[in-house]
Amino acid sequence: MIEIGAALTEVVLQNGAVEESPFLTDYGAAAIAVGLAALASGYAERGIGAAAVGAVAEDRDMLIPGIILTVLPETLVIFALLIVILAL
Amino acid sequence: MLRPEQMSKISVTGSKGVMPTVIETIHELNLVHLSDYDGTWEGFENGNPMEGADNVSEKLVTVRALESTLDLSADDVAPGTLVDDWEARLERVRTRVNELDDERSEVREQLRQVEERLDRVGPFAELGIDLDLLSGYEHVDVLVGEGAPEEVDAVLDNAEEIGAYETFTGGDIVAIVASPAEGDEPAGIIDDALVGIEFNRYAVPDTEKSPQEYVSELEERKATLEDELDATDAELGEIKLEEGGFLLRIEEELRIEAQRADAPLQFATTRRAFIAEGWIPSGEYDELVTSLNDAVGDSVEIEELERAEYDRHGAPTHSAPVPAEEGGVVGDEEDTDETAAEEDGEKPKAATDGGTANRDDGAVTMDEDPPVVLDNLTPAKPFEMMVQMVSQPKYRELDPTLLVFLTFPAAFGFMIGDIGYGILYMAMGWACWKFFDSDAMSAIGSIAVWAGGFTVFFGYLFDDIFGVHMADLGLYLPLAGSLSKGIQTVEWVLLWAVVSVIFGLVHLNIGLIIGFINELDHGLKAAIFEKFSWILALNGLFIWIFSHQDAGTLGLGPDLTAAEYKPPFLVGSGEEAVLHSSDYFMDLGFAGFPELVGVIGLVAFLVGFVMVAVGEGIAGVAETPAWAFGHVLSYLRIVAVLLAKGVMAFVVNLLVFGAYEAPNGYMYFDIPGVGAETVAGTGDLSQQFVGLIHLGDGIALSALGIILGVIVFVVGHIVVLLLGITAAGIQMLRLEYVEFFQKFYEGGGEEYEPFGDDRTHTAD
Repeated sequence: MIEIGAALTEVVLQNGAVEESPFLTDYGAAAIAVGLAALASGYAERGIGAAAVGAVAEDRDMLIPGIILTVLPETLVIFALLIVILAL
Repeated sequence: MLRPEQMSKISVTGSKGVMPTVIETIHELNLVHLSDYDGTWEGFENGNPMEGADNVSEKLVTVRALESTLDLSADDVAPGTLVDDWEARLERVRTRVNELDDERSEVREQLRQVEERLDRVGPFAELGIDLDLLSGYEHVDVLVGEGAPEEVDAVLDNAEEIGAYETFTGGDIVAIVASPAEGDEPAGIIDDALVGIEFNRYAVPDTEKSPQEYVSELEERKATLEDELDATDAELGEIKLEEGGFLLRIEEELRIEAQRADAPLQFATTRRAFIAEGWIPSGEYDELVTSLNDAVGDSVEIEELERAEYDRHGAPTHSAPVPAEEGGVVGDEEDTDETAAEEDGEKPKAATDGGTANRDDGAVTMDEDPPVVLDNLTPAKPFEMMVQMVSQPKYRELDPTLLVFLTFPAAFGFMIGDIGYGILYMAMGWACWKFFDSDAMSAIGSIAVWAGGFTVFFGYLFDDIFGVHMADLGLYLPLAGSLSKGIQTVEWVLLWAVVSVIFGLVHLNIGLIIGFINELDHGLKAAIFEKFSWILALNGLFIWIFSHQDAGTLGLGPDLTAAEYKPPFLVGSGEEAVLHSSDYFMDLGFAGFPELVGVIGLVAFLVGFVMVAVGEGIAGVAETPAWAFGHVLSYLRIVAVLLAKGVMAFVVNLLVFGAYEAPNGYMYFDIPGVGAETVAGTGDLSQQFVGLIHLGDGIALSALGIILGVIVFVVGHIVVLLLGITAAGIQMLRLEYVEFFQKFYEGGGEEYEPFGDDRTHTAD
């Protein structure tokens, strides 16, 4: 069991002389990074958006603050995208 | 431009005898924003509505009720004039419409009943048994309903109280006839037996006809009723056509009358006199004086109490400067003053010098900020809406509309930068402007046209039309392609990142300067500690960030610019430094600020930081990382959106057309009719992706590919177009509202709502 674990670690960490293409390419890693950030933005916006719609239903004047607050977490994915572009 | 229109506080004083005429004149002018009298002056009370106000309101309710019955909308009719005997005509229309409406409700009720009966008899028609055979028995019980026949049989077999039974089925409908076990009463026995199972009971209609006959009779009745309903509706439609214009004209007339009748509620009155106060754009004051003099001669006194200054906090004073060129008017006023004083002994004391209330400002209303009329260049007008969406600016603060106009469409255009999308945005904006009546929609339309225009402009510089370079279509235009979005070249991305940061710095500095000017209201010291401190901190920090030893050192030994930790593309004289020696952009040769300047910047930052701490306390300290650093970096979203939209359009085209890659890594779309090799000028291309339209060899497969290709192309670009609005539009809006406005904007000004009405249906 331990031996298998060690072998697995070898594969995952790409230790030793592995000839095949790596487990995760740069592009793959970048995609995961942006994807996770997008997921986080979405998760944050979900709550804000629901609250904003509630506020707008109470008072139409809340529309603009609502939109602004809803897109605030968009920053997460935008900067993730930017960092990935700069890093690649 | 940056200031709203100047407003004057005026007061009109006169005897109650001329009040209706004065009200009428002011109402027709539609210029005076009336102030509410707050009831604080001894001996002056809020006025009562003019006589007949009740009657007017009552009639208004009648007319509006009629309009709603007739389903009348404002744009159904052309304007006209009112005839004299309108009250009698209104009464006639009212009686007729009410009659028809009652008739209509009655017919609808009958129709509902008939439909209900039809619903009930439906199952019996399915059963096919005459209805009179289903009721009126003494020794057996009959029940009709819907349920599973097998279950019914099973239950009835086991029921003790049932002696014998028989079922008749038609479709899902079951009719059960059962006689009770010895000596029992037949009524209700089946019902009792079926308690345990699902069985939907139907009442037997009370008629002697066969179900078919009964149904056809009901349907006949239904058709008659429907005809009647149509006739009533047609008659109402006729009335709507004939009397619609009349009703709308009356409504307008009555509405105006009601507004006028209620106006004295805002006045200060005694038994015989009234004082009305309000705000009027200073330029219109003469017109007010002329109109009132024409209407009532010199039996009212009109006075310009003050011209509201932009830098003062409310508190109108009687001594506020009324410019000398108004001399003629002022003299005129003095004449009327005397006349008015003779006519009405108890009033002038109060109106002019405020003697009765021990106040020296001469105004009967409380101190209040003037209403705000934004005053902008015509092209910037629609952008007032974007400012007002946050809040109406205050009278004494700068109106940022012009700056929004200068930055929003340009930044939007830069982020999308595509001729094709730009033209579509302009078309959408034009349609919005053309086909919607509301002010907000036409403002949105104009904004979209501006944004679309800049999108086309930047699209031309980026040489993009629906994500395809025009050059790759064999179309070479002057200056087209002088900029690049950086989808295929990283250097451009780095350049745009730096440019965005610089744009952010400029934008935020403008915001802080506006904030500084606004804050001067509270004194120079407040302005310096609350706004200038931020200017120092923000610019100091970024001057240090943009400093590099390559531009000159102090020779001190330690590198005070921390040059080696700064990204090489930002500053320095390396190959990557975009401002130093860019292959694509102007060769600026800017390696950064010399170390000395950087150190001064750092000192400025620290001084600013301390001043912020003094001016705004702990909150200012906590905000420093965001205000002095984060908000500028926030402008990097411009690059991100630029790239994201560009790449999305690229991917759509890649899916549809496919692409070849040149040896230098550049991708050429495989667009039919345009040989990628001809455009690239080399045959050394490798195919990277087979597009949908080049899918197959056989006719069926390539036809399928082309159809799919067209769908993907159209839907894909529509998605990019719409996401462009939410991404570029909302992100830029956020930069305006969150980063920019936060530096100076307060809002909460009062909207200018002049006492008056825009006539649409009646000629004046």
